Amino acid sequence: MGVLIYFICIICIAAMVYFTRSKTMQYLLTTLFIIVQLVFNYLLFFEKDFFTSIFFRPDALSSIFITILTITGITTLINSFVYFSKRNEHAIHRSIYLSSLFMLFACINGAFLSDNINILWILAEATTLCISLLIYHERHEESLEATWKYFFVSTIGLSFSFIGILLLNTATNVSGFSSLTFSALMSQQIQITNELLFQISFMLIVIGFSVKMGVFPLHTVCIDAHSVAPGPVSAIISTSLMNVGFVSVFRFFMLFSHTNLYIWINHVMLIIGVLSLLFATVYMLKVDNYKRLIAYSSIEHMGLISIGIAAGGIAYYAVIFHLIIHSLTKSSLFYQTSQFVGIYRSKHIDDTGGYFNISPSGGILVLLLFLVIMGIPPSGLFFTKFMIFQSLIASGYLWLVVIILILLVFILWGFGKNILHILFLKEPKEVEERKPKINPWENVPQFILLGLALYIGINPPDFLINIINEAIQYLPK
Amino acid sequence: MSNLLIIIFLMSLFYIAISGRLFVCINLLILQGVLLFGVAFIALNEINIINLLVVLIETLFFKALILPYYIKKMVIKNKIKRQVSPFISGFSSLVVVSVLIILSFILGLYLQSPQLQLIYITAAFSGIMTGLFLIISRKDIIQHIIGYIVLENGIVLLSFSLGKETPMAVNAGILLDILISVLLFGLFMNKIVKTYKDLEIDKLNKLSD
Repeated sequence: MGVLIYFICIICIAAMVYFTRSKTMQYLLTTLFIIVQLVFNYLLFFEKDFFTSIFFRPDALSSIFITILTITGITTLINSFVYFSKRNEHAIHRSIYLSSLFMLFACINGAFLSDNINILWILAEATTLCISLLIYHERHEESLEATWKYFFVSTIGLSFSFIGILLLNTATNVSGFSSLTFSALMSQQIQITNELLFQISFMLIVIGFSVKMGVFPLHTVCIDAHSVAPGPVSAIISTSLMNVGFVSVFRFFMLFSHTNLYIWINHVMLIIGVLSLLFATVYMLKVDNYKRLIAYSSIEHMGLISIGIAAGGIAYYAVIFHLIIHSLTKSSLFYQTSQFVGIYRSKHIDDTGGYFNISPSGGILVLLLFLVIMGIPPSGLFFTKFMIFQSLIASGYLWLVVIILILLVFILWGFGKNILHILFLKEPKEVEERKPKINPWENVPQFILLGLALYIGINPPDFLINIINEAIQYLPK
Repeated sequence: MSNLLIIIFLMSLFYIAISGRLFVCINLLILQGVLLFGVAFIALNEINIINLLVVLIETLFFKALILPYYIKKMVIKNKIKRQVSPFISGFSSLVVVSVLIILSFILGLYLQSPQLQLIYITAAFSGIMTGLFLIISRKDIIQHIIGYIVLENGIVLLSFSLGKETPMAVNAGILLDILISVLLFGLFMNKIVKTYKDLEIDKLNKLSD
């Protein structure tokens, strides 16, 4: 019931923002949206029963990621208005942007909450529809190309996962689609009758959701989307949308984790993770577009997360913790890229330089974000990576840890070289003459996110530890 | 009876793979929609008004009427050339589709169970793989959309073969998603025609590393 009310509220707000052209109304409706989202998030923690129905069921995993979505969502909206203020665009484009963003948030929230597997699929597909309108926002040739590729490949990919879901439905012998829920399947313990059927089903589901999660094999369209999307939209693709992919894959992983296919699915996740890491490394060394660079860094982190899922044990905890910090910091870095675009009017790394001079506060922010994202202590990502490696070594993969560490060194070099280029090299002549100004207040939301990430990383509060442990309690120890 | 319909469905896959004219492909989509309606109608255990309505909307109204009409309108509006331009010849396409059907048959032999009959799996997976083959082997974007719809038809056949009842909400959601996808495909296709004055996928090559 609660989810339905929430959806109706958001659809109303999105419809109103679509039809209004005045800026004041847009501000008001955005504030209204934020209030609805905050109330929804609050009730999710304290009135769980209100949201429980045959299709939706709040649990610890969804609560964590919805809270992250609320936090990054608010900063995304603030940054979207900063982005609008620097561009001269039609009011209608702005209305389309805002209404698809609101619908996107609603669909992501629904996907986190859904217990019914088909509803999860429907909402994941709906996120594709909303996000493609957002990717297309700047309306030039390249954005058209990226939108087409993202939209087409995601739709085909998600069709694959639908085939997987249909096969899972056959294989599990449940009485109908309505009882194809995660909670029902988990409580009755899947009996593997036809191994091949389950294997094909899991493979198809993972391949399909890899579009959303940003891991091998369908990660490439995600990168293309990043390179043309507005900064705030990239931040959403790289955090909340990837979290949708992660949550979906993780839920299916949980379903299969108590069957005799456990070792096989671990191998699948491990291979996917290592290949994503490998692709990210190769491309980060040769990439010349800073948005694509940061996008490949997201692929790297999602690869590490797949490896963490495969490693098991303490790594399950580390994976969720990693995603929380990654979401907070990576979104900040993407918000900063819209400043880069404003200053340099180009997305090529060779055309950049001297960001530290132009905006000292922004320079410090980007430098700190770089250190946190690369997992240099005291960043929380250092501890999570450490836990993932610990768990890998415990399962006898020392050789793999060595390979991953070598790849990570290359990534540190590729990422560091380019970020330091943007920060410290002499600025191009054309930019020097133009003397672009950046208002330091624009960096405040990003500093808040960074501070939060640092605080959580160094001193994780007790309730966070408890809720993460609750989210992974079903998995084998 | 339903076996006959499924065999006609398989034959339509051959025809769609070798036909050199766009409108033939679109008419074959109409045929497939009607065939899917027949299969679903026979599979219905009892005539329940809601089930009948869902099946009617999903197949006849949606797959055989709206989508083909919409694609035809796009072709006429954008003055897209009516000739299909595949990368490989008709004969090779025929061979490929035959191989795909044989592969689906072998896969079906491994996967069949009391709930999942062999002929359904073979037809469904043949549809899915032929759809993918159409997407890979054609240059035009409109052909890609047709390939996607063939793939969707295969999936719908697979879901019918499960013979389980689907709640209205879930079914409506799936339908709505696919409908909006195709509408958005059309929207972006119009933009591509306007921007590039052409529909060939080779033009979309700006983004790479």
